[in-house]
Amino acid sequence: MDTVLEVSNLKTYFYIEQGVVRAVDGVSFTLQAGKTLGIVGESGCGKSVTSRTIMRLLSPSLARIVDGSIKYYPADGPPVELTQVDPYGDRIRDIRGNEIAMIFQEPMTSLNPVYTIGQQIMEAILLHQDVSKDEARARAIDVLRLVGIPLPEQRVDQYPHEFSGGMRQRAMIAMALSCNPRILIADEPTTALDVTIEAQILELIQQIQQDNDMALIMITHDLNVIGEVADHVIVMYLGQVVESAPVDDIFDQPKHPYTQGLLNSLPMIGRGDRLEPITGSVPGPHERPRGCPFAPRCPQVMDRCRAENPPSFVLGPASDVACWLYEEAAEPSHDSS
Amino acid sequence: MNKLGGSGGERRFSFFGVRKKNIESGIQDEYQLLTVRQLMIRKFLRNRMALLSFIALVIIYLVTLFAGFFAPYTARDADSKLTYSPPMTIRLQDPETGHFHLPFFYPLRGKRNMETFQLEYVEEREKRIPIQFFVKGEPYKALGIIAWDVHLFGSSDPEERLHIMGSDVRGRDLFSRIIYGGQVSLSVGIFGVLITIAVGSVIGTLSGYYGGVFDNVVQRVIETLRSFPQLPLWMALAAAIPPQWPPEWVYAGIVVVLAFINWTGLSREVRGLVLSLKERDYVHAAEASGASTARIVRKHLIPNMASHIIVTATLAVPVTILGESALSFLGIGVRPPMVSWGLLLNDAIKIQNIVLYPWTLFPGLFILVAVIAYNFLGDGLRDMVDPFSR
Amino acid sequence: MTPVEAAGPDAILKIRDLRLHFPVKAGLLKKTVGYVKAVDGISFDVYAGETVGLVGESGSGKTTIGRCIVRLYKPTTGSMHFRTGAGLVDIAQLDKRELQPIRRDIQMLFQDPNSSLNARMRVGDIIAEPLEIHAIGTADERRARVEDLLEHVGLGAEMYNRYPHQLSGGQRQRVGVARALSIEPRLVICDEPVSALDVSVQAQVLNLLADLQEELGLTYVFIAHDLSVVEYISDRVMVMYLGKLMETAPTRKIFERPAHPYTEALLNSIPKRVRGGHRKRFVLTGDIPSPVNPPAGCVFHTRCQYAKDICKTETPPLRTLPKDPYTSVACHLVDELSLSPYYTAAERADLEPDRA
Repeated sequence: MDTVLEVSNLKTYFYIEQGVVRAVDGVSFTLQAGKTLGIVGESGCGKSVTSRTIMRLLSPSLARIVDGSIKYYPADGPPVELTQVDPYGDRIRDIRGNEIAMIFQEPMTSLNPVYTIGQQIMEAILLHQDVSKDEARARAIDVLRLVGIPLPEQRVDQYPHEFSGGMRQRAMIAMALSCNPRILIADEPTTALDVTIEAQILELIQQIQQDNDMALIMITHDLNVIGEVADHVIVMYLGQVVESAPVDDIFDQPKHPYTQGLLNSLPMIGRGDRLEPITGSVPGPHERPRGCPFAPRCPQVMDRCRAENPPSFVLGPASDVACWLYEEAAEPSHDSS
Repeated sequence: MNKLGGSGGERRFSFFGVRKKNIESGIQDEYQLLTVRQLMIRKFLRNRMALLSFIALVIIYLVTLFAGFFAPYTARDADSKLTYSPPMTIRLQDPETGHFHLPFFYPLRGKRNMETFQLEYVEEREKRIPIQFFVKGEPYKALGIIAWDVHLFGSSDPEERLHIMGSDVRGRDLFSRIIYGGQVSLSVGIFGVLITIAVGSVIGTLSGYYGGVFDNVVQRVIETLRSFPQLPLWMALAAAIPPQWPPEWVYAGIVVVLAFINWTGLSREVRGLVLSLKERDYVHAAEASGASTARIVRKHLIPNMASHIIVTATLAVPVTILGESALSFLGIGVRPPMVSWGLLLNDAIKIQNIVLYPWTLFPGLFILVAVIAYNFLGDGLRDMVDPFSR
Repeated sequence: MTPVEAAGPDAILKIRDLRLHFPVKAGLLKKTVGYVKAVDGISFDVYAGETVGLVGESGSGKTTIGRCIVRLYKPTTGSMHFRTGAGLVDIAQLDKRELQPIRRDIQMLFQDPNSSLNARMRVGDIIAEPLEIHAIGTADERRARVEDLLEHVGLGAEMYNRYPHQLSGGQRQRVGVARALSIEPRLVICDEPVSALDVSVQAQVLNLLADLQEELGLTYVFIAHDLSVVEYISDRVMVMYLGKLMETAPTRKIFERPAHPYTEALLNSIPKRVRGGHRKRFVLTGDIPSPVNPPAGCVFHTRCQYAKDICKTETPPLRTLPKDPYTSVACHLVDELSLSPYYTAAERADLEPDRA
């Protein structure tokens, strides 16, 4: 399998008036071509900041990459360390939108209302590829057709407000796909959409992924979406990865008490049992627990959890869990630094 | 295939509660939970210009409030020997001997230049007159009630007058007149804005909350009022004030005239706020519980609009001050014997006066300072009421 | 006896042919150029002690119905009979004063706890507001009741003096619950009460609502777009599309034997996990049409894969199935179609063992 992206021990902190917010506090994963990595977690877990750090979209005056590395492996040429590139420089511009593309939750705020859909897609194409305006327009119409927009020859000259919510999200996807990216980061792409439109969009994203052998990072709070699209899942809590495992393992044998709690909190059709929610709520940045971030809400908490943050224990070739309960069962760590 | 976060050793530093300075940024490596009020105060204090302006305005208002004490003379106290005297220099050092003394000044002596027929003033170096603090002088009424005759500073010799900003055509001390004039100019701003707030928020709330025909009529009236050029409309209205009215009535009339235009802006702002606030779910919740309209306005709308109204009002004060100054400068504002900054500037209306007696422009400086300070203060307050913006 | 009276003794709310059309105004003179048919001829009963789930996509009119019931909106036509001590009262056209006593019995729980709580008021004052409006008890009694309520919804009396911004999202929604329950309503309209909450907190609030219902004998109309939440909390589900009811049936029945093609499409749209790779599924094409110009005939025919000619011209009435008196469907083809449930038996069997 071709690795296209390797993130290790990434830490992104925000420096704001009230102090430091450790939005991402030690995240690692690898992404394979053609596969889907699901990042799941509740609000404030750092899943969106992770994606924006990879894209280097965060303002350096506000957010800083404190530690860790993001290695991008281009199709040809040496790997690029994305933490080291200038966030306003040419190198990241080459990669962003061209090789790594992103779609956002709210398509209306991501599209510029004063340009037509076609102009916005063509801009991305002209920026990254050496083609004429006519070729770019033809390509824009092609991608609009690809994402299932009817009558793309006419739609290409329309403005975002003339598109419905689902159509705008399709247009966003078209824009993201216009340069054939190798990685697509989808940050809650269907949260603002109705369930029938969500189904259309998820189907579309998966279809395109298969056709183009694209790697996909699906960021969502919705475990049902994760269950449907992901191959491998990382579960985040307070900026840290608490569990990382193949999708079926996450649902069938969740290891971390937080993952278990999430699944027990999730109403699933046909299950019938009473929900067993996790007690309490996600702590704010001012009440960040010492030790394991989940300790205050964990039903199986031990004294050690309150004092020491567990490292990730390796439970299998693709499974890690950051929980003291699994210290005994763990294989020797493959990250013994 | 997957690797999870770094080893425990690296993470140990991230424990909450470990106080350490971040070397790069100097921001404390700890997250405090601030209340909204704390955030607001921080935000305001960080805006240096707003803070400075606030302090400046407090000082100006205190000085004008206790004008009798701070001004060495009253506004009407004239001295025919010293007409249009230039500002006198306050000295610490004797220019001839080089000796240092307590603050003193040399009195001016007028001499007619027989070629230009201008009165020219020269310092009488033989007579060193010390400046005295807490000096007894003209009697006045502090705050309008307490009779007193002590002034903050003044000439130690009642026969030799001190004009630190010069004097006017009748030999009245300009500095004292500016302080007294501030009473009028600055209070017109406050009273005008109070009327603006009262009228603007009531009409704005009603037209935003009820909409319909009332709103339609009000909006058309506002559009009509605002489509007139402001100054000519003010002038027309001010000219309508009957000339036989006593000065106090004229003053009140001017306040009303100035508020007449200003309320339109505020009422539009309030209407917009009400339109957005009344669609909030907490208003719906109150409605679904059967709350009366009066209760919704009082408990839900006003508290959520107050900060915006205060900001708008703060920014409306300088407009009113400028309006009063403009009208008085043109001679259709407050009338003598009242003084205001605009009225004082009226002395500088003739170009030769500006050339010959440039100190008559001093009142303009005060207008400038007050207007700028109010604008900075308004900006600071605007940042403050929205403490979560950057 | 009127037809409304005949509908059964324990119905707490009987809605008949409810319509709410918002005028669309345009031009200089604000002429009415059309109507948004947000709710377009809906009839249903709500029985005491039950939870009715109201599902549909945005623009289906589910929130508008909720707001009609609490009379934030005045319906254009139709009746809403609510059971009071004095029998059934049509609340659809009552004025503000006549509504006042009814409002004690019908309360609403809102979606977004950030916008449903006044940031300038303390938690205690927010919860006490309905009590104050209805002048219930003295100030001390109200305070005692609010503290009691705070304990009841799992917050603790010490929250009385907090401000909303000092609470987490879940805590805020609990304040919303306490406010809705403060005047002991019998019917609570829950308008997407958990959709703004995180999964773990959502489950807490759902359980709280279920416990309170059992304890206080409440009746819920539960409006949601998330079908798994509706499945969890509801006894009965009503499916809406473009201002009309498509199907109403007991919850189990809806998910196991959907009778309307739109219900089937909704179920098929819910993301679900199928072991060993991705499933290929049937996806509903197109968008929901504009409620200003709803399609003629069956409003769903433009997206329905089974649509026939009759669907394009004739509006199907909501009919109770002869073989199943608890299910009503508005579809011409109800007898001909055999629709697929959320999980097929095989899929369910495949997933079940591991879940134990």
